[in-house]
Amino acid sequence: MNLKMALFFLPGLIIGLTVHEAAHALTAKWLGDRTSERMGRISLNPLRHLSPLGTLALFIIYFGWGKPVIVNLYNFKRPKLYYLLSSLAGPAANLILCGVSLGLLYLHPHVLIQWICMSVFLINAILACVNLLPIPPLDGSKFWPCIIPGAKPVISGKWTMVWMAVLVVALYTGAIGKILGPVLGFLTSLLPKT
Amino acid sequence: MINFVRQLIAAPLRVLLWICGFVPLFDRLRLIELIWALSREPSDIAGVLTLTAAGKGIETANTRAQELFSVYPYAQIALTMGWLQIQHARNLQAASQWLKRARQADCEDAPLLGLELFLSEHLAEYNTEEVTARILARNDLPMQTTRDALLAEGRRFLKQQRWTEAEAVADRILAVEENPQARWIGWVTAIINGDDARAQTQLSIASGKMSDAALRGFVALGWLYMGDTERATQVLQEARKEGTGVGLINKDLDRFLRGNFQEKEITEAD
Repeated sequence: MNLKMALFFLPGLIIGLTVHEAAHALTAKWLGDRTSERMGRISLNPLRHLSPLGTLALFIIYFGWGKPVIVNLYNFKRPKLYYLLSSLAGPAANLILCGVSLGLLYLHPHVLIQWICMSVFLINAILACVNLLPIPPLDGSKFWPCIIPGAKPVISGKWTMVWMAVLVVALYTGAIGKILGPVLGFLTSLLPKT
Repeated sequence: MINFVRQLIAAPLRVLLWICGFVPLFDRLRLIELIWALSREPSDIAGVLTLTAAGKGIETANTRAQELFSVYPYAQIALTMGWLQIQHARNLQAASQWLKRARQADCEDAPLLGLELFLSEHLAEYNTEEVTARILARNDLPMQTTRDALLAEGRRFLKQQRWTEAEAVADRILAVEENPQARWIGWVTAIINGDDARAQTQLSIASGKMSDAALRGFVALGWLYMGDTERATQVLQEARKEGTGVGLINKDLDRFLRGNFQEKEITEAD
């Protein structure tokens, strides 16, 4: 990744990751769990959400992550459903940001705002789509316990590692790109023609 | 911002520390000391103390912790030392001293509750029911703390022979995650309900996820709560004969052990 590209993606990443994680924390609070609130995660301060290792990894292996929001499922009245809802809040917030930045782009703002909006639109589209994949530990995987009888929302650390390996392989072999390509293609087709 | 930059600098060293867990390239203790010096994160002190206890012994770790705590009165130091005293030396009194020290220093309460709950199950000066109620009244604690409190409540229900309520606690835990102690509660209630097949299934799942010592301890405690002291004694005798011992479980089993066995002879580390 060259410096120009990194600078282009930076605003989108910082805004996207911050809003994504804060949305998880806020929804968890609304649904009855204040664990992440006590940890200071209901905040729009990016430093509370960026993982140092995840940030560094982004520029080295082009794959990064934020600090995960900790939720206590025992505080939810309906653990499986509420866990799914608090998980979906992250990608939902990214899609809202996509919509807002797209709207601003149609207003043909100043070139600097255009650059930020484009970065926010693209990164948030990617964040939302990747996180909606039904592969643990991504947000979309929280859907499975709601439809598979007997499946538990919390999986063991060993299985999380296995799924992480699957995810990394899928990412580097281009399998994820093939799945997400058409969706991202559709989203970018919504951009105003310059 | 400065803190984030410190963390960013420490990040590659964290990766190196992780690698050193598999390949001994560097001294892990020196590496974690360096990470702590850079990050000044309370959670890194836990690593420093844990590796000190593993490499230089619990006494050295305790001295180091006292020095650190006098400068940085973090709950994490008291918490880590409390658990290390239990794991390395089975010294519950020393763990309790660390808890009291943290309370006197007005450390954040939330991380300490798990340790207090554990101590309450073994030391007379703490009241398990009161600690459990305090934990379950909160909705801002880590999942592990709430789960441990639920399990303590499940054991209390078993002791009071409130089988349906105990089963409800186990079901609540198992709806969220797999847990051997919840399976053990399920084993006891299945026996009470005369459902031998279910009891067998519950115990076999529990046995796959517990150490032999802990399993025997829980099985003995289960028979004790079911009022079958003969079978409880039998399990403990088998544990002694086979040299597995039983895990540290709670006051009820501790009391039964003291009444029936030389406690030190049978209580072994998990």
